[in-house]
Amino acid sequence: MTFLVHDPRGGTVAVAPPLARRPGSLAGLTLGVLDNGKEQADVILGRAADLLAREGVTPVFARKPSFSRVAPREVLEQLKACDIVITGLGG
Amino acid sequence: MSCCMRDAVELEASGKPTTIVVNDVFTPIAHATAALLALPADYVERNIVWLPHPTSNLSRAAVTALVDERIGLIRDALLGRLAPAATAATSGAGGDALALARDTVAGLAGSLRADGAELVLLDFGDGVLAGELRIGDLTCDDGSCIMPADSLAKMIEALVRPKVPALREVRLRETGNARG
Repeated sequence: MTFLVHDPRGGTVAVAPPLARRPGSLAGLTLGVLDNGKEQADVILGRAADLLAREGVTPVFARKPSFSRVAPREVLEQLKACDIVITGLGG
Repeated sequence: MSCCMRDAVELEASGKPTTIVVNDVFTPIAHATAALLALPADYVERNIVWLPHPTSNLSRAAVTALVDERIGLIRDALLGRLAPAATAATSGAGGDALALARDTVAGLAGSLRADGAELVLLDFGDGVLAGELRIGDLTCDDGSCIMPADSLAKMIEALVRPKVPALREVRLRETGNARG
């Protein structure tokens, strides 16, 4: 038998989360690209990745199965292996 | 949009600078989510690059051109050099708490309306802000384009409390069409 336990906290955080320290330049960095699957997101983020690649970043692409959910753990772990990330959606 | 920001916050917390590129129709949601997540006041201005809405009906060439025009902003955001734009001072409003709350969530209500739901704040008394989330003809089949009323209430609370310190709780009742 399987029990599903729903966390009533809903992901709300009570304190300001830490923000990452920014790099001095983009050259040589790995760029995670998180596509949420909305229309044109792949075009928008793909173009941005192409342009940033000209400045020396290496893009790594990932896609969320649903724009209305947070990214699955395995997708976030893939992006955490990168140096910087861009994400977004169309609409 | 709120899920996109939650992803970004998790990545930031793990030391990965994260820039969001998104349509400007989501500006109210971005500010509301930032308030809910207790992000710095200038988080939205420093980490989100806006595209004019809509983009879904544009040609590939037109969308590409929009990105080309903003690549400098995306680069600056990744490097922490995106300066917040000067923002207009918010009006003092001065009126009663309910009017102030309505004014504060006006942008958020507009975003919800675009997806087929109407946010109506009805009453403020004894620290409780009461309202309804009236579900109409949603733009999504499964109802997921409108966040649950309890989550929305938390977001409204985070947005309104700085302006209405007496606010203790937001109670939002969902009415109208069934979701999904």
